[in-house]
Formats: sequence, C-alpha cells, structure tokens
Amino acid sequence: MTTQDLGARLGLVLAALASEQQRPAELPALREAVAVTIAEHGDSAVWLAIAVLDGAYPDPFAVVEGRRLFRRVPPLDALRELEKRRPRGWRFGPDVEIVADRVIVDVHHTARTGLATGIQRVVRNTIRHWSEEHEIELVGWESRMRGLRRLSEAERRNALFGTDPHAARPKRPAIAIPWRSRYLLPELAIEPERVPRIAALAEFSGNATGVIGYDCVPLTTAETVAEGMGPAFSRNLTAVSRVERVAAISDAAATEYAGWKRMLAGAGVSGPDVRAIPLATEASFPEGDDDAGLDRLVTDGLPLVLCVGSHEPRKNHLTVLHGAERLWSAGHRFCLAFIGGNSWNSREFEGEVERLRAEGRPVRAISDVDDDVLRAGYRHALFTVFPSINEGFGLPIAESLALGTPVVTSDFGSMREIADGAGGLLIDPRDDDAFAAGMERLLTDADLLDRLRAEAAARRPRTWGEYAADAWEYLVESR
Amino acid sequence: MTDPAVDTSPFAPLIRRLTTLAPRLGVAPEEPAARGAGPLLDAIARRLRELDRADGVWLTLAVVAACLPTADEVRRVRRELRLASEATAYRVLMAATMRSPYGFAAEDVEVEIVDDVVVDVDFCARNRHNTGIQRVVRQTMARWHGHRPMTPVAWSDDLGAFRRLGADELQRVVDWPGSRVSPAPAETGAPTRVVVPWNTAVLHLEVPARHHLPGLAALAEFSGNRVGLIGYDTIPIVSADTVPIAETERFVHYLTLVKHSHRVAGISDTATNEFAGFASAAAAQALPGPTTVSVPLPVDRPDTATATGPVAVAGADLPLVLCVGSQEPRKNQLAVIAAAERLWDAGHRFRLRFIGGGSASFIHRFDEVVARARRRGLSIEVLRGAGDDDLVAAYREAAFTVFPSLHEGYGLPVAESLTFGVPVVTSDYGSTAEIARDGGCLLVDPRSDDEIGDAMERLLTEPETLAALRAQIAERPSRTWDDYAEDLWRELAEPLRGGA
Amino acid sequence: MTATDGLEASTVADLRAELEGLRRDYDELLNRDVATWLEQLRAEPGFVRDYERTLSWRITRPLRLARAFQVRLREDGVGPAVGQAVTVLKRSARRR
Repeated sequence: MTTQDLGARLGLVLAALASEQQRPAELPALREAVAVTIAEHGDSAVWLAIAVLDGAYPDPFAVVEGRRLFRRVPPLDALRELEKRRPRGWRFGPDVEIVADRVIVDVHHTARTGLATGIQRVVRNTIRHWSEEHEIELVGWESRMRGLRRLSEAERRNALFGTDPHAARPKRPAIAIPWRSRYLLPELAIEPERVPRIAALAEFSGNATGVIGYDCVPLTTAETVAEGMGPAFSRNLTAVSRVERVAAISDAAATEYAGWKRMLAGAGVSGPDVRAIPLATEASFPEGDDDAGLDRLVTDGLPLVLCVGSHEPRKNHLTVLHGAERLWSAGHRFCLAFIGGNSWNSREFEGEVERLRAEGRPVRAISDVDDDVLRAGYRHALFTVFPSINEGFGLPIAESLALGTPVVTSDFGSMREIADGAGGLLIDPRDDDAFAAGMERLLTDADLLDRLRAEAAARRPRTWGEYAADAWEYLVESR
Repeated sequence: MTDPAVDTSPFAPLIRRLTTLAPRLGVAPEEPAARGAGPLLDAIARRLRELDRADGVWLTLAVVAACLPTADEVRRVRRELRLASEATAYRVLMAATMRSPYGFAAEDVEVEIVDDVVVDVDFCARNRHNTGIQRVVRQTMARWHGHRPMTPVAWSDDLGAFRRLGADELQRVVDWPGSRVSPAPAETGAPTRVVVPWNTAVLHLEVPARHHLPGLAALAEFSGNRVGLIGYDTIPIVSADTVPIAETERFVHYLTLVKHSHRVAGISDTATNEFAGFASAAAAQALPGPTTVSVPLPVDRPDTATATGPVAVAGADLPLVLCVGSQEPRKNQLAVIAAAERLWDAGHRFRLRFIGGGSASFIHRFDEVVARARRRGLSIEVLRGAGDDDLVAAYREAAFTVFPSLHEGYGLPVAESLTFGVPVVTSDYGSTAEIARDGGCLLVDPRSDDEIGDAMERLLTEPETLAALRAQIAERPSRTWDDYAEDLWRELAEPLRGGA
Repeated sequence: MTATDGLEASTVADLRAELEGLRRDYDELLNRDVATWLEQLRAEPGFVRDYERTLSWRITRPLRLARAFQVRLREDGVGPAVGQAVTVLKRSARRR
C-alpha cells in the first residue's frame, strides 16, 4: 500500500519540474500548477508525470498518447485524464522517489546472481572501480518490472563481489525515477516487461543514457542461437536505438553495432554514437596450486591441448575434434581436454567425444570446474585452442595469454584483436586444413612455441582499472 | 548393359541419380554403372574424397537424397570423407543418408541438375494471396516467363528440396489475372520433379518460409551457386517492436541466408542501404556479405484498376481525405487522427476514410481512438476487407491521401495514390521520400502531429497548392513494371549467371 | 619368343584373370552393401514420422510450462508462481 496519495505525487512532480515554485497546499491549485508546468516542459515532463502518477515507467506508446493529450485539451483536463489512466491497483503499489542528478547503473541481473559469466565478470569488475572512483547509484528492477529501485546493502555487495547471490531484497522498495540523471546499462536486458520501459526512458525522459555493447550475434549469427533470442534481442536493440552511446567491447563488436546503426535510417532514427572501448585482458585468477585438478584434464601424462568455452555451435568445437582426430591418426601424441560451462545444441559434439573415447582417443570434456582447476589447466597446457566463428570478445583467449600459454585462434574479429602479436597463432576457423595445420605446428615446432610464449609474456595486459576509466570517460564525461 | 532410364530393378532409382550426378564430379558413369550401383557409388565417393570440396559434397547429398542438406550435414560428411580411406568412402555417403530425416523415402522422385537461372517463387505458386511482395513477384515473372532462360521452382515440404511447378502453379505465378478466373485445380497426382541448381544463379524473389531456410542458407554457403535476393526491408529487425515475434524469428534466420548470398537488389535506396548496413556488420565475422544494388520498384497502379482520373461523388460536398494501409502502429494512423482532430477543432470540415485490414493487437486501440474522435463530430469511415473496387473508387474521389508511416521498405500506398493523380502527404525520410522526389507530395516529420496537420490544412485550404501538386504528378517520369523486370534481370540475374 | 616368355605370358594371363575375379568379387561386395543399405532405408517408413513427432510443439509445451514455473518460483516465490501456472492452465482449458 503506497503512502503517497495523489497530492504527494503531484508535489513530487512539481518539485522536480519547478523547484523554485512554492507548493500549493490545496489539491486543485496544486493540480493547476502541475498541469501548466507539464505543458510548458514537453516530452520529458509527460514521461515524468506518468511515471510518478502510475508508479510505473510508461512505454513509448503511453508517452506519445500523453503528449497528444496535452496538445489537444487544456492542461488541467489532460492531467485529469492521466490520473484517470492510472493502472487500477496503483494505490496498492509501491511509493516513488525521484533520483535527480545522479549516475544510475542498472545491474539487475548481476545483483541477483553468483554466476560469473562473461557479462557478469565485466559488470563486476567495472562497477567495483566505478564505485571506488565516483558516486554511482546501483539499481535493479522492482519485482514486477514496473521501474528501477535501489538495491539493498546485501544486493549491492553481491553486485560488486558475487558473494551473496541469494541476497535479500528490500521489502517494499520505492520505484526510483531518474530525472536529469544518467542511466547506464552495462548488462543485456531482454525481458519483454522492461525493454519498452527502457526504450521510453531513453527516448523521452531527458535523462542521459548509455549501454555497454557486447555483440549482435543474435542478428549476425542467428543460426547459432536458441529460438526466441532473435526477437528478444531485436527488441532490446529498438531500445538501444534511442540511447545516446554504446561502448562496444571490441572493434568487432563496434563493427556489428555500426552496421546495425546504418539500418536505422529507414525508420528515421539516427541511433547512438558507437565506439569501441576494448575490454581488459588481465586475468583475474587468484594464485593457486599449479596441479589442481589436472588428473581430470590430462590423459596418460600426454602433453595437454586445452579448449575452454561453452559447448555451442558458435565456438566451433567440432573443428577442434576433427583436427585432433586427424593428428592422432597421423601419429601425433597429445591429449585434448574441453572445459565447458553451459551447453546448447551440443548433441553432435557430445556424440563425437563419445565416439572418440570409445575408439581409445585421449579426449575429455568436463564442466563445472573451480577457478583454480581452470588456472592450472591453462598453465599446464602446451597451448589452448579457440576457433570461434564470431565473438564479441573471447575471454578464454585473454585468460590463456595472461597466464603465458599460446592459443590457436581465429584470424579475424575480436579474437585477432586480442591474440595477434600477443602469443596467438591465427588461422581461418572455417578451414579444417588450416586449423589442423596450426595445431600441428605448435605440437612440433618448439621454437615457434617459445616465440609465442615470449610474446604473451611481453604483452602488458590491459587492466580493469584502465577499462573502467575509459568506459566512464566515454559514457559519462565526453560530450 | 542396362539403360538406367528404363531399368526397373530395385537399384534403378539410385543408379539414375548417381548417373545424373557423376559427370558433374568428373566421373564417367557408364562403365561403373554397368557393374552395378555399388561400383558406381564407390567411384563417386572416391572422387568426392579426392576432390575434398564442399560444393561437391553439397551436390552429392542433394542429388542422392533429393533433399537440400544443412550446413552441419555438409561439414560433417566432408570431414568423414577426409578421415575415411578410399575404400570406405562410399560408406560415408550411405551413413549420411541414414541420418537424414527424409531418408530415401522419395526414391521414385526424379532429380534433375539444372544450370539455368533457378527462381524461387514458392509462396506465389502455392497461394492466392496478392499484396506487397506477391505483386512484385508476379509482375516480374509475367515478364520474364518465355523471355528469359530460367527455371521457376517451388518447395517440396515432403522432401525439403526445390521442385518444378505444376501447370496451375505456374499460371498462379506468371498469369495471375488468368489464374483468378480458373477453377480451383484438382489434385493431379503428378510426380514431383526435384531440381538441384548447379553452377548457376539462384534467385529468391520472396522471403522464404522459416523451415526452408537452413537448406537455402547451406546452398548459399557451400553449393557454389550464386544466390541473389530481392531486398524488401528489414522492418522485423529495425522495428521489431511493431511486428509479431514469429516474424522476427523467421527474419533473423533469413539474415543467415542474406549474409551468405552474393547479391541483393533493394526495392528502394533505403531498403538497399539497410541490407548494405547488415552486410557491413558481417565483416566482423570475416564474411564478405552480398553486394547490394538499388533496383527501385515502379510507381504503378493495382493490377485490376483500369479507370483513371478523379470522379465527383454526388451529395458529398466535403473533401475526402484518404488513408490507405494496414492499421498497425508502424503506419502511424493515430497521428493522422490526432492531426484531423486539431483541424476539426479549428473549424475545417472534411471526411476521413481509412482503408486496410487491421492487425489484431492494434485495432482495439485504433477503434477506441476513432470512436472518441467521432464523438467530437469528426466524419471518419473505416473500411476493412475492402476490395479493389472500393479502393479504386476511393482514390478517384479523394482530394489527397495521407501516409505518414514510420518505416517502409517502399511505400506502395504512396505510389498507388500518385498513379491515380492524387497528391500525398508522406514521411520526409526513407523510401517514401525517395518516391516523393519526382513530385506530387508534401513531406512531413511523421513523429510531429503538428507537421502532419499543417500539411493537411494546406491541402484543404489552398486549391492552388493542390493543383500544383497534381500538375507535378502529371510530369513525373514514368517507370513501369516492364522497366523494373528488365532492370532486375540485368542487375540481379545477369551478374550471377556467368560465374563468380 | 622364348620358353620363359611363354611362361610370363601365361603368368600375366593368370594374374589378369585373378584380377578380374577379384574385381568382380569386390563389385559384388559393393552391390551387396548397397542392397542392404537400400533395404534399411525402405524398411523404415516410420522413421520420418517419428522424427516429425519429436518436433511437435505439443510435446515441448509441457516442458516449457514446467520451466516457466521453475523460474517464477525461484524469482518471486510460491504465490506468484502458482498464480501464473493457474492463469496459463485456465487459458489453455478455455482454448480447448
């Protein structure tokens, strides 16, 4: 049950739009004052008024209709109509608070999960540095996705450190409504309930906006993505099309976003500014036991070739298996291990691993490993392989090189950006011959291996502090 | 030595297919075929393994199974051939067909390898729907048929492959007016004739159905054929919030076909630019993406309309403002009503008519707004399911049309209006602005109710402006379907016919 | 022509005959393999139908429902999860 009656809500709107004005004590006069102020201010005031009155951010349609109202009828009548359009249960909904002149960072998923997927790693490392250097407000979404809300202390800690994924949520948080603030989205938002609200915030609310752009794989490589992701991601992009800035995590990601941006002209939308702000390449492994879990990876004491990454078609693990089988058939002696987290559409891969093992080939596929086993694997491996066909970044490449182990990876995109001249052997991942030849070189040419190791050791990794600073500079400070 | 064409042994269908296939791989089939299906399959498999080429594998799988293989299947068979010995290569091919969901169920189906330009017109062949895309396809095919060397094809759902059209299907594609008066065709039971393109151009004039796309994308990526598309628009991506989820789902898989294809002919500069933008994104995957070229649609009237010129309707003294187009958020009809309300409040009098079907999720809202406007006195008529005659009559009566769409690949209602000599208020960007370049239109920011209203007001109160626009329309350079069909063949088919 | 030439000639003829014989045997093996293969393909008309059945949405829908219930349960607790399940089931009962 909200504690804010209509008068309180109207008072909030007036304070935000015309703080110098004395708030009238009586409701009719208050209404009049608010109505006139909204009519004077335009789109952003309409957005604000609906958000405050409804206790929920509007979608773009509601803002456009609200704007039409204020053009068509006297302001007071328009305001009364907005009041009439409030959702039936607004009285039982949450309070609202206006958050003005702040930098607001939306970490809805990261606050609720302990998982350290690629995106969560980026978000955690970034906001840790941002919260140390700057004043930021960490927020998530209210349970029915009506709008943003501040995080509880426990949620905040989990967002920053991932130590408390079941952190208790605040009981009845107020809906936080940004005003003259900056809204940053460093995660991927695809829920149908919140995407239109983000779109309207970006287009109408007058807040400054920015996102971190990871990739456009669901558009450019849809054949490797699960059903439903294409539409969900495309709708996310319609919200991003109204945002001011996209900090893409690599040149390759920036290329994808720039290509998409070009497509917007037909809808009369200019789209966001897109810039590549490359991710950090430093590994964040704590020091550990160099032999941890090696018995799960290594077969028969053979030299280890390691492949890290989720088992999905885009990662191209079938090419790895085929190359290994060719080399085993030719008499090369090494063992192969896959460390995968999630898997999707991996039946053919699993079938091939089973077949090879049944034929006595030294291959293993494990998942669910701790960081120390992962680290030990990277350090022990002769080299790693990562022939993905499309990546926004490619964390396993950076991790391998940061720990001094060369990698055979793709000769284009972000993979090239990270590995070229830094300990990577680059090949065309669509060419079985080239990949197998690359593996063979590193199995037989000790000089090459040493050269690549030296390259990896010589390359100074880009730190998270540097990334966070560059991202802040672009998303918050640049004009 | 048995003649494969008349042999009725159980091996005959397989031998026929292998005999068709073999010369394309550089294998002379007669001698091994005389010894049986086994030796012929063995000879082909050895050659395929020796060649180690994706296009050879693709062709073999397509012909032997009478089914277009997926990318995964092509890669897998190629890898297995590489690992197999010469002597066991033929078993790789046998295993491949065992895995196919269609098996060899279609062994009596004839498979032809074709090196004509293959033109995919599946939807138009099998459906009587005739708006937008289908009109473009039928107008083009009517002019190519009999004049251009090509093989039109449809899709066999049973087999997952291209097939030749039946007589009634062909008529539905190349003689639409004739097919409409023909009685519905009886089941002919004619045998399916599968068509496998080889070393030629494959043109998709429509957006293929979702379940065709894996096979078609693999054809574009591996078969060596050169694939061309008509590029209509990318609305399901750019304006995904305005289309159903299933449409966007199909479209992202269509984009996989686009990124492996060789040439896209956009129906406007705007549409072409959208596909060029997508092609440039594909560079991040080290894919060249298709070359894009603009082949704009003609400005032409509905097929069945013959009369031209305005006609006054007895008893109607108020000017008719016409709005043609399906009622959905993207077409922005609510802005027209908002503008009309403002004009009505200022004392202008007119009739507003909407013609077009409504999208289920939107008409409720639309009807509410119309009801509210009517309560304020506006004269608004909404015709859904109107036939061509109602449409033509409306154009002939209208003072002007209003089409402030937010996103179009072309903008058929703008072109239609101009062919009837009726001036148009339309959007000042994208493809509608392109059509407007040659005159007869007032351009507005469709996101500004005020601009729309101002333009409508001018055309209601300034007869000299209306007359000037009509004069401009009469001076517009003419571009016909003949022009389009010729341009499309030259820009899409010719460059892809002769080889890479 | 010497006596040894004659011997070589007959050896060559023998070898050639053996080669022809082996080739015929090999052809027969290949043909037999192909015959078995064709038999298997023809004997499994149910294969396509079974495969198609696994693609039917009627099988995946209950799985989808179960998953949605799980997610809701985890995020919002029992009440909302059950509420959502009831709504969906009511809706589908109405449709039938």
